[in-house]
Amino acid sequence: MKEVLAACRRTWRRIGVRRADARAMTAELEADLAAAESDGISMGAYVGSDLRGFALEWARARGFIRTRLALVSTALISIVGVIPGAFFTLFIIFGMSSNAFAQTFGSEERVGKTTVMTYTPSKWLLGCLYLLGAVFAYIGALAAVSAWLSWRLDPARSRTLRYLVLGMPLGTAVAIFVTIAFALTQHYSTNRSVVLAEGFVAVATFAFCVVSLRFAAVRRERLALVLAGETGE
Amino acid sequence: MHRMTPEPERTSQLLRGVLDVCLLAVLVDEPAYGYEMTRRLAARGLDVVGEGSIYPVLGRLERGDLVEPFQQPSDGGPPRKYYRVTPRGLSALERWRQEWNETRSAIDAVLSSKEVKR
Repeated sequence: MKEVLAACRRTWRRIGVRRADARAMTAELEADLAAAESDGISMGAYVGSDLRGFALEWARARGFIRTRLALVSTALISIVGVIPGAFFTLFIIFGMSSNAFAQTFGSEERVGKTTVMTYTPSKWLLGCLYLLGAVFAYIGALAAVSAWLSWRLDPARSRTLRYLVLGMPLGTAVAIFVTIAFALTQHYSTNRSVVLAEGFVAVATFAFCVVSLRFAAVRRERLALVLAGETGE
Repeated sequence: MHRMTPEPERTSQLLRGVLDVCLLAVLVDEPAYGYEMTRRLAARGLDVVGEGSIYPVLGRLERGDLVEPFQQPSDGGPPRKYYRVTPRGLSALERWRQEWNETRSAIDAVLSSKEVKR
């Protein structure tokens, strides 16, 4: 019985059921399960094997499922999703500028009296690699947010993803524009603290865009629930 | 290829469609808690109610103000949640009962209209 109750509580916590409501449902179910058990009825027969589905359906019927804003967590998760794509780009670009890469793929060049192997990637190749990295980062962010909201059984997941699919490229463009503008005010300094500040500006602008998109999606979702008479408030 | 629904599943699906009216009906005589309702349904031959199906239905009835929950002391344990039918639930039951009778008559007419040809 404890496992059944624990599984239901976990689901209710994930979908944002208020503690008092979850406690009330748990107490009701616990008393009924005890009565069923004393009649020799198995837990599986009484509540079924799909405990998550059962708990979800019950909470939905009671109107306890709230669409939480989750602005900070969505922004953080999207940034985490961007990281693999961003690192992929950095590793490739830095790797192509390394001596080891030049030794293998570079060409001989005389510098003074010595001959060194150098490799300078074409702008087209660099552009393609940056684009590939951006696509990886985009897909990574969407996948991370999708998985996170799916795990939380978030009612606004689909709408949030739709908004992100359309809005994130624009958000990224805004982040790039703001970062370039900031770099301009710093005269494109390569000072480490300035570069870190530029990175912070880019990430903060991107996060702000994700927060705005999530907020818009949840607001629309709540409106849709109100119109359907399922606010649960 | 069309797959036939297994018989217990078919019965369960049929019952799910009218579970709300059945729950109201078993609550009319006397308030009951969740499990007690499944007992009463089973006593009247509806023993396929399982898999926690009554709780979401009770939740919807409660939200629709058709049943009203209240706490009542239990034997030796903490107070437990009972449900009773509200006046609105009584009129809903009357309406749904009429709907059911009409639907059943129509289905009976369809099913008995022809002999099953083999």
